[in-house]
Amino acid sequence: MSEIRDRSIHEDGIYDIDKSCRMGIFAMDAEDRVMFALMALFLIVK
Amino acid sequence: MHRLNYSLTSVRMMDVILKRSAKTAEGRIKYRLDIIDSVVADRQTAAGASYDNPMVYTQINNAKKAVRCVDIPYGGKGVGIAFLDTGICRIPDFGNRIVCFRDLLNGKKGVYDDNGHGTHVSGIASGGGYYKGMAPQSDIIMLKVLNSSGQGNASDVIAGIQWIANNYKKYNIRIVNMSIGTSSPVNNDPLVEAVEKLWDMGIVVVTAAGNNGPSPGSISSPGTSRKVITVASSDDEKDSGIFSGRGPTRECIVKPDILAPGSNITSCRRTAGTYRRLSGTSMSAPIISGAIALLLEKEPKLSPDDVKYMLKLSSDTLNMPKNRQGWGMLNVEKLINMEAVYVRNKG
Repeated sequence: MSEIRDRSIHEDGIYDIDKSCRMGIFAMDAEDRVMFALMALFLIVK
Repeated sequence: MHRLNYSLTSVRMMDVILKRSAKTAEGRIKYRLDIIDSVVADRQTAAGASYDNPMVYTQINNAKKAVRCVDIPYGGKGVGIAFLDTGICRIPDFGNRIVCFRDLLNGKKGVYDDNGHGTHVSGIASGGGYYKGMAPQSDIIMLKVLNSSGQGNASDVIAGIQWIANNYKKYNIRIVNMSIGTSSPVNNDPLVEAVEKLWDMGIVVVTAAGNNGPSPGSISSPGTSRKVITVASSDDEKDSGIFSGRGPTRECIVKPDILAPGSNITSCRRTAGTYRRLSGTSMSAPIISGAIALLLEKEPKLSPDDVKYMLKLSSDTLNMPKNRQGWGMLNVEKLINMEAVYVRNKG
């Protein structure tokens, strides 16, 4: 039996993933906050 | 009481399903259900909305032509299709093929349908009268889970699913048709959990995409399940002015999976010898269920994943966006004539 290679075949079922659909998180860590503050400062000074 | 939007139906938070049990609003335990493990809120469910539009006259026979279901040498003989719906009337179109009827709402023994939606849906998949359904020799198992208004509770629907899980071998239930659903997405959705259990038991579950489109993410539950086959209408926009639910799901899964006609489909009324036209994804889903019955008569060893994959390979694209058409339009001729494909799932 030949092996089927198809991106629709997953361990938990047959389905397609929408790659344009992106999941995001709504949180930032301490490093993000420093970067954000520096960027804001840069924009104000400029 | 908290009111939520509905897609196929209007939904309300009614009572609470506790772990493996369903309680009423008064706290009375209604069911003990092995089919679910989750702790979630129950919601009221209903039959798919159906709209009558005299502008277009699409008979079930025309719908069969559209999905190339002509001169197919199978009728779904010996294949059981279970319907979770409003009931069914014992009319000649179904002959003696209503092999089981269970009324989970009122506990009545006799076969009946006090709404008409279930009779119409069953006729599209299994009718064998003047208007022949997709699989006119298939057996019908009807679980009445919705009331005369076409509404009911998710706990009753899950109880119906539990009944199928307990009895599918006895009636050779290979397909479950759910032209019902709810638009309110919840985490750990018990409807999704229950239908996926059936799928893993080897039962093909076909669900309507709902009529809450065209916004993205408007697929109804349990059609949001990545496992089951979610069906949208191929002709709703131009013909009936209603819109099938569209993907993606909250997990970024493309939905629907497949299309079938859903506008002005003629099928059985509750009175013998009379027919009516209804529109909606409720009508599209049984076209797919019937087609699968034909396939399973020919190839009884196919698993649900095999069936779903063969539907993918045989569908015809209508050049619509993926989250509108999925894999495209059902093509029964290609589906039946193709060599069986046995999928070995991979990560």
